[in-house]
Amino acid sequence: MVDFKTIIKDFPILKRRINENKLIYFDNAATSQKPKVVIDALSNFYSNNNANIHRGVHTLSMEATYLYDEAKEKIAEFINAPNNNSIIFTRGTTESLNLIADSWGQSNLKESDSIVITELEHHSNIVPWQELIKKTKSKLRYIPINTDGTLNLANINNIITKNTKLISMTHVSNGIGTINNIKKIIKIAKSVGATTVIDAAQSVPHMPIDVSDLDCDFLTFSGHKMLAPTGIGVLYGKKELLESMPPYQKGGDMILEVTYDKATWNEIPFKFEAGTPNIAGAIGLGAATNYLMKIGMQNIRDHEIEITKYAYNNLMNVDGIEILGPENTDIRAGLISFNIPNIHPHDLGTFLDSKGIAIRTGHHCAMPLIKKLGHHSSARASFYLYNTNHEVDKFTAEINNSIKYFNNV
Amino acid sequence: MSEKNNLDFVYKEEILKRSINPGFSSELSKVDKFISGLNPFCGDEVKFHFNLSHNNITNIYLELEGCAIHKASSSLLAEVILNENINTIQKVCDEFISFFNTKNNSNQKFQNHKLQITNPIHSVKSNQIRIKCVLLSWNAIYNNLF
Ligand SMILES: Cc1ncc(COP(=O)(O)O)c(C=O)c1O
Repeated sequence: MVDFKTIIKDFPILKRRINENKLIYFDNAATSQKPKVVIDALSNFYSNNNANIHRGVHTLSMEATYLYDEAKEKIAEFINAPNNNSIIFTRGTTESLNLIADSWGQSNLKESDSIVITELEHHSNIVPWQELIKKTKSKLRYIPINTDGTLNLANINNIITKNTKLISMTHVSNGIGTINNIKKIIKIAKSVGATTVIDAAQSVPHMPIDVSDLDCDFLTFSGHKMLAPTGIGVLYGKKELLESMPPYQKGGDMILEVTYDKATWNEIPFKFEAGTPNIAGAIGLGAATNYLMKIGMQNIRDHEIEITKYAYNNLMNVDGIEILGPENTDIRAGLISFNIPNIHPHDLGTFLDSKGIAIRTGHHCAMPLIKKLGHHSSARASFYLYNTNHEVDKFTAEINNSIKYFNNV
Repeated sequence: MSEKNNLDFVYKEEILKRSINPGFSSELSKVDKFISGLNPFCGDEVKFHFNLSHNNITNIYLELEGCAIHKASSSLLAEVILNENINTIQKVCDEFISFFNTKNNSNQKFQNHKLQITNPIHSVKSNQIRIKCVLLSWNAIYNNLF
């Protein structure tokens, strides 16, 4: 059994006091805090092993290369990728999605083709496709949502058709927390021969993910949302697909041979990792992955289900509250997006900050979604392994206090 | 500073009252000038409808969506510019915006005495992130009225 009460000790920042209160960090969907093992991994690397990788023959370069490659192996194991070379390090989900849109998109799409995404997407899984269809003159189609924020699949056979070449969808909505049935959509995509992209930015950090079982073609996620540093993320791709795609950026490491006239591309993953990568970030991500695997992703998911149920039930007692997204925690991740009548989310955010509680307010980079659900913005509390029901109690109490504060003028 | 004071520092009672009741809520039968502003990051939104006579603002109808600070600030702005000439308004907006964009001038004496009614909102300057809520409407008017 994992004792989640002691986990908080692994995270130095959680000792901080904010505005004279103990920090309660409920903004994990934006970015997560870092355990000491990750901070130490960065510091150790720079103190003991720092060098460029895949280049020098000296000891430090070999050590750095070993640590970088080891991190990649760890991540392949973490998401059950059949091959280490299927793991490309990027800056994060945004860059991974742009890489697919640029490299796969421009060489595979023609005018009659369509791309399918959903109404739940983060801007970074909308805008690259909007730009791509401008260049290729193909079409962008949306799987709509129901009012509870689940996907409406009633018309799916008219949306995913034989013209559909690519389906890119989020596994978990960062705006409202819906967990999509991606396995089902991947099956439908396969039946029409479409390539599949899963934006797993909000799922890989919080639940077990097995790319071999899902059988998706690509999957993307960000290190900083799973206890690792910023500036490092992952693109998983099936080997044959990655091999068939042109490079995304051009420079050092990604070439096999260069003459003054032309260059030939290196093998994957190097073809997609032009220039000196974020070596320390990758090593930090490796350490974070190790830490998460030790605790166990199903344990983390179970812990978050418990907190989310508890928070949902507590919040439902707040006067007039409107919670976005599905109630059932089988299809809701550890985040709750909500609105309180007559208090703008920003004002609530400032009020809670004065009590040491950090939440996100705004449209969460999912503007069309929040609009579609009839709001301009929302407040969002998102949980992770170090959060507790006790923190939820304080959070709910302060929301009730904010209602008094803003309405009893 | 205690957190209680900290909060009351941003949300002066007058600001809260004004945000609940910003005024300027009567629609105009005809509109001479329309100006809108939007902060795409948070969804704060403003729509100004004006009546103008000889470059003077004679009537204002205000549509507001967003946080308390944005609403109160827009209401104060409307009060400051009502019955003023657009040349004066340009100077007034410039003065107010400059005040929020420069560091360390907490005891500001404004050239235009009408700006004194904005005093209760000046303390928002201590909250970097919320300054944009104060300035949304002022920037919209400054950039579009002339
Ligand atoms: C679902 C989803 N997709 C994509 C992103 C973009 O991730 P990043 O900013 O790390 O590139 C996020 C981050 O908020 C997200 O939640």
